[in-house]
Amino acid sequence: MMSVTHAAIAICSTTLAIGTANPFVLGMAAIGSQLPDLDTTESFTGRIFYPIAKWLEERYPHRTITHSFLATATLAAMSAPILFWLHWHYWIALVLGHFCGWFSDCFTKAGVAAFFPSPSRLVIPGNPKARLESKSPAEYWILAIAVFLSVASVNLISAGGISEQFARSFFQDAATAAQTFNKYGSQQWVYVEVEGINVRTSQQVKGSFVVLEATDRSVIAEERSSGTLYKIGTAPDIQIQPRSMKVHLGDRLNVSAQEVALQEIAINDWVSRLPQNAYLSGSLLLDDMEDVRIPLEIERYATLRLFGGQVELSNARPAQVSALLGDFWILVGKVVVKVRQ
Amino acid sequence: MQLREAEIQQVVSALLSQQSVLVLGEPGSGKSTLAQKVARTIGDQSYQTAIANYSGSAKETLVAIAEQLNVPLETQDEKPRPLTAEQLRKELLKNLPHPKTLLIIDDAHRFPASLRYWLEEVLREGGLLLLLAYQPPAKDIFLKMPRIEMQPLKNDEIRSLMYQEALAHGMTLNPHQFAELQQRAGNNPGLAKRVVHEALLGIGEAQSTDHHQYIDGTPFLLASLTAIGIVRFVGLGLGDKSLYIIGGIATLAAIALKTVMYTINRRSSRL
Repeated sequence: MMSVTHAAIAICSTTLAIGTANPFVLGMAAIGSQLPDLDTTESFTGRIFYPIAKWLEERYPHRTITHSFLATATLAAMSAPILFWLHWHYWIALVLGHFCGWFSDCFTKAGVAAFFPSPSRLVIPGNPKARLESKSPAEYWILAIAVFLSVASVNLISAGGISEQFARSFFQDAATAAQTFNKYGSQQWVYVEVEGINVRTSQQVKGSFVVLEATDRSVIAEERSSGTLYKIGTAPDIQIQPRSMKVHLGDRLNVSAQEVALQEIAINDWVSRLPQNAYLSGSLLLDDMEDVRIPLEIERYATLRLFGGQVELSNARPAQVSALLGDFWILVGKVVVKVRQ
Repeated sequence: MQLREAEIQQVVSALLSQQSVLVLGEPGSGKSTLAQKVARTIGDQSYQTAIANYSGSAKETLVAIAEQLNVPLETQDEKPRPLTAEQLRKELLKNLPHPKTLLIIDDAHRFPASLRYWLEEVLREGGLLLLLAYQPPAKDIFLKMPRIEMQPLKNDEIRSLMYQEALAHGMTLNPHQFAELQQRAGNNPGLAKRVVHEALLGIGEAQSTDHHQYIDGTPFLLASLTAIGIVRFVGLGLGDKSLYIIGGIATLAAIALKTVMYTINRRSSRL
């Protein structure tokens, strides 16, 4: 087999096996895959280490001593210090690369003496007519497939890993959206394209939403066109039952959250000092609680509600608070002010 | 260069202690060469030896043995007539169980049942036999004798044999070519010579794969690929749907590969 095929197979196996896209680790695998060909002076490695290659070539048939479990085990033992100096990925990549380098030669006509010092040659498959010849069209096919798989794997791993991408492509539901938000929500905008039905109004919903909070199987998200909040997913108190929720990640963002304790202050005074894009969550005990009137909202997510003799806020906007409760006086309260920008 | 010295020594000492031996080896492993060397060594010990081959006629074989052992081929009366196969067998059966007579049967796996049963009788009567065979049936005479299996030659022995063969044909090959060719020799001296001849004729690309030192790795490959199916159960246990489905796909891919491998692995016995 050509050395480029060995390198491609080694890189492909390494990226799939340990789930890495680090070019230095994959480079290590490519180096490892070239080491078995130290036993021939015609190879790239053999020309670099010419004296060793010449010595081996005069004594051993091609693909014996350097193409064996023994050689891989020796390399693994000799390169073990890498474990202390560098990440274990480098060590595994080197050993796996070496193994793939000679194991792929099992598919060639002559096979490899994998169990050296036994002269028996390991071949796959047993039928010599079905085995590969160097530089045959079949080898170029394998090279192409290995390169394709490597590129696909590196792309998927850079985007969060194969199983995550699989979930985002094929399970477009609230659970996947919630998981994605839980993983990336603190650093990136998480958007969902929702298609579904509003369970209160029975109207079709189709739109883009920004996820603000996530629980196990539902998310609280703000419609980008209207700024209205909905709870989407599968839970008893949802407003939108989704048929499909396509998640995608947006730009980086900073989330700053600050917990403030309030005492004896007018709502308008407090709210006017807050950034207008903040989200407020917490509870307030107001003077004249019996006069507080908050409309009951069922077709959208209730950001303000009365509960246990207090006003509960959940991702409420400062504007909403001042519009509904602007003239009230806070006796005591505790609120988290969250700003996403 | 002396090859297989230890094996020859082993066979000779067994024979000298009146113990018949069966030697097993693949085609080209040097059975006939070993037989000739043993015959020469034993002959030096004032033994009478006969080397028998079977080439299609039982009678021809018996006549050849009788000739080598100086057994008369004609009836001992006024009107000598050639002995029939039946008579030859009886005559030889009388002569062979002599303490200093050795009968060497080369390629014993080719011998027909009639001759094998006769050989069994010779053995029973106390005749000394050396049988050389490649994958003989596990029955009659082949089960009644101690077996010696011919080991593959060492890499350096094969290399010097190839070097000699190339020299004998006035050919110069560099170590790289030898290392390439030696892959196909499988530590079999007969094949080692043949691959050198092939290189001489410029048909090295034919990549003959006739030696018997192969291990088919397909079952190991399939078993390890099937083991990826473990991922499916990990996914199931952890409640990870993606992992479960990817593992399921991997399992089915392994099963599909198994089917394909099974089909392409059915090799034809034709060249």
